[in-house]
Amino acid sequence: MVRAPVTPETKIAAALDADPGLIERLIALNAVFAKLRNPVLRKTMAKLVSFSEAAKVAGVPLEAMLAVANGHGAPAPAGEAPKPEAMPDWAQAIDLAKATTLDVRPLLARGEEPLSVVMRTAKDVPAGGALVLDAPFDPAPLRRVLGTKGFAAHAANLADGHWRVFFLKRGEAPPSATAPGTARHWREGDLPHIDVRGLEPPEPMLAILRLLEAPGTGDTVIVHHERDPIYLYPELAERGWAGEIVPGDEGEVRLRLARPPT
Amino acid sequence: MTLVASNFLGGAKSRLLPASIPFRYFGAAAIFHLIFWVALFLGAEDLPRYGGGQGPLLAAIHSLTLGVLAMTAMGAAFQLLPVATKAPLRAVWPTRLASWLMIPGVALLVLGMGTAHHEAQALGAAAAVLGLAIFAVLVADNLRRTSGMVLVTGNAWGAVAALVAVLGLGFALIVDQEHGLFEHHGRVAATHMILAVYGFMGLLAMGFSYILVPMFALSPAPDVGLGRTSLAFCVGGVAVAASGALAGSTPLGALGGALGFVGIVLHLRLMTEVMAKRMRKQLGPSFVLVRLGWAFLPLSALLGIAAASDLVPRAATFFGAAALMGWLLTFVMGILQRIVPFLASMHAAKTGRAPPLVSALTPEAPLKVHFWCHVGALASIGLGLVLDEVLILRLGAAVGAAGAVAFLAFFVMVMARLKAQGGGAKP
Repeated sequence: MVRAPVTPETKIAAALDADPGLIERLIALNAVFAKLRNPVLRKTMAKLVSFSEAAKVAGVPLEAMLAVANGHGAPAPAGEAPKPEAMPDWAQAIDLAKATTLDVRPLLARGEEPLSVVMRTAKDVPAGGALVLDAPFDPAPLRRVLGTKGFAAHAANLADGHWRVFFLKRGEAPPSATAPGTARHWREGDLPHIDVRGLEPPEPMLAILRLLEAPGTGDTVIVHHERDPIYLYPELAERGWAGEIVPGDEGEVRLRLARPPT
Repeated sequence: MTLVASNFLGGAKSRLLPASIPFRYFGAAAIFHLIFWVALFLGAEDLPRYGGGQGPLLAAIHSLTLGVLAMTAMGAAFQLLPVATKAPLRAVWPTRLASWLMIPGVALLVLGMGTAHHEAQALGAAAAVLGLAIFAVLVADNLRRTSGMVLVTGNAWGAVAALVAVLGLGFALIVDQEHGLFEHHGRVAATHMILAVYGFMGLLAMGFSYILVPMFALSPAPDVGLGRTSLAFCVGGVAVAASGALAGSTPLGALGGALGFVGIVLHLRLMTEVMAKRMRKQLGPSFVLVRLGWAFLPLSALLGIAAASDLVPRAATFFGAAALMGWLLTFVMGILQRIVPFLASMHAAKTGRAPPLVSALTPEAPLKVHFWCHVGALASIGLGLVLDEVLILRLGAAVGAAGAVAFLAFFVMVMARLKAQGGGAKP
């Protein structure tokens, strides 16, 4: 049977299921993949982690991982390990004494699945509050999942086998009883997206401005709107942002908001 | 990262009226604002005991109500209501037609009232009534096509209903001066005043506050349930008070005032919550005026109850001054200070560029002059009424006129900056 080629988007668990020998080849590439021998981790995190995310977690070139996974022999020498990201200002400003902290290393060492504990803890973090997570690796899928729940995230490699991940819950107001809904947030292609369709004025404008002012948002945001938000533009200009309409779905006005470099 | 400037606001043109539509109304409001203070200066000696009648004071009142307040309401409603309700205007020409009737009509009416020229008043009133009738039809048509924004639309429906009654009674009052239609002209005039101030302009101001204040302060929309309760009390209060005024019933008038007072307190509670949750901390002098206007709102209702109950000597005069100058004029001028450069910024962007900063379009100096003159004028008028001193009243009107000149200068400067940005539009 011919196996489907492994791509950057292929999940680790899927590749391991299709190719049981892959686990040892990955360990030969980098010892950090020895964690995949843990069956709990394979059932949980590995199902969420893609090869591109695993490359970042392990700090190995993606091309080398793909070459190993696709049975192309020795790892290709080309390709550079991802460079660590500089710690953003908002992460530096987090006070560990006030933040909610959670160390999942003991859980993982005992072979327990930490995701549900993290999600329960994150749920109790108030808007504007911080969650600081200690883990043996950079939990990229967790960052993505919490990103959809309004968290900005930054991971720092403190030592071998010790990552500290800073999460900051954006200042979203809790949905009021009168609001017909709240804006939907997610990340796609490394860009934050916000969908404000269905909200009554001025909620769309507020949700967008809150996102722009939240730490960790970056310099580009994609907005999914049901109409051209004409009253938003002066507010964008006051904040040094600008916007343009880009192609979107039928009935949708999609905007790309950007903060030009100064 | 380069953005495609030509796309900027590209799709907004259908939702943004030509600049000349809102700004012609706001410009007219700025001119009538000056006329109001000048007419008040001329009629100051009648102010402490005014009970109706031709002359500069009647001209001042209508320059304020029709010239400033209604004109601002029309300009704001034509631009903002379709955006709030998501139901665009079917056509732009009726908004132009309404202005061609309304602006000269009010000018003629005010001139006729000031000079006791009946034909000018009748002709001016007819034109203004037609202009306002077009406004009412356009607003009603817009409201009919939407189901959202219940607080804005609910208040606007109440305002439209009151406007219909105001127009009928107003025109009848002018005819009555020559032909004696009514046995109690004063009662009908009082009913007309209550419906105009609290029914039409009051409900409209409260309704637009539910969208404009959160929009400018960057705050969540207010609680709908409490807003509906406020609206119910306000509408009930206006209906009962107007009925009491028409029937000459003191208990009904006082009951209406009390109901309205409850509605006002609930409205102000919502506005206080909106302000407390705002993202924009620095709101500038425009919102000082808005807050000052809010302070006069419950005071005016209490004075209205006092006037209806004959509890305080000359309470009707204090009531009229607090409602018209203290609340409505102060509130509307605060909103105009903010909305004129805001709309100018959007219209400047229509030429294909990112919008200029609102702050760059706002000349601060004339606004400061207007702010302090307005506050000084209110203080002088209040003191003059308490002391029953015409000289202080005249001083207040003169200071108010100076502020009106400053506001006119502000408006002209914003228009000049808009034109310099290439964002002006043909009338």
